[in-house]
Order: sequence, then structure tokens, then C-alpha cells
Amino acid sequence: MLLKNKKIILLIFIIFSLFVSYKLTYNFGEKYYFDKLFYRKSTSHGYF
Amino acid sequence: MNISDGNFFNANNKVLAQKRFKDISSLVNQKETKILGASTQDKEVYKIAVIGDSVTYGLGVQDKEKYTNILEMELNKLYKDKKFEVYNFSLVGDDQLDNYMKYLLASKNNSYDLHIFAYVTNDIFIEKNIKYPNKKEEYEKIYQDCYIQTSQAKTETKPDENSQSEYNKFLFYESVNSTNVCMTNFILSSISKEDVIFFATDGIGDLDLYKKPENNFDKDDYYTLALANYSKLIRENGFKILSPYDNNSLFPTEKGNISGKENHPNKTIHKLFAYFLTQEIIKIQSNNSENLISNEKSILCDYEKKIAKDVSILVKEDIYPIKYCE
Repeated sequence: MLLKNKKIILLIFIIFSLFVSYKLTYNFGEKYYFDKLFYRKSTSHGYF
Repeated sequence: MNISDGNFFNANNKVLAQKRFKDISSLVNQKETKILGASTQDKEVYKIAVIGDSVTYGLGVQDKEKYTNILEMELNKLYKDKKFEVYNFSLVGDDQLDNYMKYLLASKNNSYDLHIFAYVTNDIFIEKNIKYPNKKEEYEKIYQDCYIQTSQAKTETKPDENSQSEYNKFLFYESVNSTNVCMTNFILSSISKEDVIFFATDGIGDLDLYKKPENNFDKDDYYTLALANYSKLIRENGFKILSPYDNNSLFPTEKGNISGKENHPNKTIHKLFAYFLTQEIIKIQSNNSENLISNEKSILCDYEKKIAKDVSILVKEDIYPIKYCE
């Protein structure tokens, strides 16, 4: 039971870490590498 | 996709069609426009149509970061028994005739309490294309009248926008004594003065530049003068211009672009535009100030503090409120 709880906590931690990493990388790329990664490419930034 | 083609709005791009083009696509196809989440039956609804070009379209920022979206959220936080709906009728490259055609469509389909025409220098030159319904016909009609009045043919082709100095010079000459100016005056005189205000997203230019000898002009001077001439025409036609870059402004004159290649306003500037317009709409609605969640003056001051804080972070310098927080 304890092992199962630990696994669940670990899983939640991994999912949370992945989400935070994705967000941080996205924001970093958007701020410092906009021309390379988003300019005239990104639909979510209005380009078509 | 050809943006100047009238079929543009039927293009099958789900991401853009569902979010970014929702308002303008509904306008062009004359379908029911959006209805905000909560029921508005028991509240008075104040509808604002923002008509503009790529800046208002939010090129380079995410949909949720556009100033029109933030403006709607901010206004809905401030009034107790009033609901605000802000519609964004903007697309990349729209000129003043495009804006006028959208205004006519908006007036025909729905009733808006306020129309905000957002403009920059690029909008000056009116192009002949079929971007919006009936645009070509309207162009030909106005052009014919102006051609007779000014005895001058309009330049049909504009220089390559990548050659910035040539393009700015071209915009300047199109803003002085041209068929284009005549067409502009026709458009401005056809718009209602009661529920329309202009929003100068790039400032109103500087007429004092005329004092400078033309052989000392740089490329930005032509741009600024063209903007000043256009703003002058707007004022002469009896419209009020809201300029976030006026004398008492806290708005930054640098670091407002998205990146080296993308010169459109970044998300901080969009946020500042929304705060600025929130202040202006509170002032326009001053006969309704008892509906505000708090005292009008303190709200105006709060927004000025927010503007000062965001500008301080952007320019890495301490900026303090100067207008509403005495």
C-alpha cells in the first residue's frame, strides 16, 4: 500500500515536472528565440 | 492563403478560424457573433467593436494576450450591473477602406455602443482588392469622385515594404494632397461621429517635423510625418483620438517590439493598451460611475499604477504615476 502511494506521488511529481519544464522552455523560447522558433511559423501567434 | 482574396475567411484553418478569426469571420459571413459565457439577460450589455489592422489582430502575440481580450476582462471586473463585450474586427494589412467596410458591415449586422478605429501609418494607403464584400465597388466609386476632384491618378502599386525608407517616403507622399487623401476624407466624412473614436496605437506623429529641412529627413521622419498628417485629417473631420503616447504618457518609447524581425507590439504593450483603454472607457462612461465597484478616481489611479509597474519591468527603470494619483 505504501509502495503504491509512493508510486502515485512519484507519477504526479513527474507529470507536474514535465508540465513546468514544458512551460518554462516555451516561455524561454518565446522570449529569447522568437525569430527562430515562432516568427511566421506559429499559428497560435497569429501567423497563417 | 491569399489574404486579399474575398474567399480568405472560408479558408479551412481550424486553429485560426475558431479563435483568432471568430469575430471577423462572423462579421464577414454575417453569422451570429459571439455570446460571452455567462447569461447577460439580467445585465445591461455594452458592446464595443474594435476595428483595426495587424496590431489589433495581435500579430506575434497569443490570442489571450491581445489587448481586446484583456480589455474585455478588465471592464467586466469593474462594473457591477453592466456587462462588456469587446469584438475584434481586425486582420493583417487592413487599410482605412477595409476598416470602413468592416464598420458598415458591423453597423448593418448589429448595434455597437462604441466603435474604436485603431490605426497606424500603414493604413493610410488604400488598396484596390476584394478583401471584404463590396470593397472593390466602393473603391471604384470613391476613386472616381476623387479622380475628378484632384485630377490626379492614384499610385496603384506601393513599393516593397522590405525597403523601409522607400516605403515610408511613399506613405508620406500619399498623406499629402493626393487622391488618397481625398478618399480618406470621403471615408471619414461618412462615419458617424457620435459613437466612433480613433485609437492611435503608434501615437499621433509630430507635425513639428515640417520645420526640419527635408534633405535632413531620416526614414522614421517620413513615417512620423505621414502619421501626423493622417491624425490631422482625423481631427479635422471631428473625431476624438486616443493616443497612449501623449505628453503625460508613461508608455515606453523603446522595447515595445516583439523581436528583431517582428516589429509588432509585444504582449506587455498589448496589456498596457488594454489598461489605457480601460481608463478611457471608464471616463466615457462617467455618467455610469455609480455602477463601478469603487471610486472612479481610485480605479483610474490603480490602472496608472499597473501601467507604471509594467513599464518599469519592461524598461528596467523606476516609473511612477503622474496623471491620476495625486
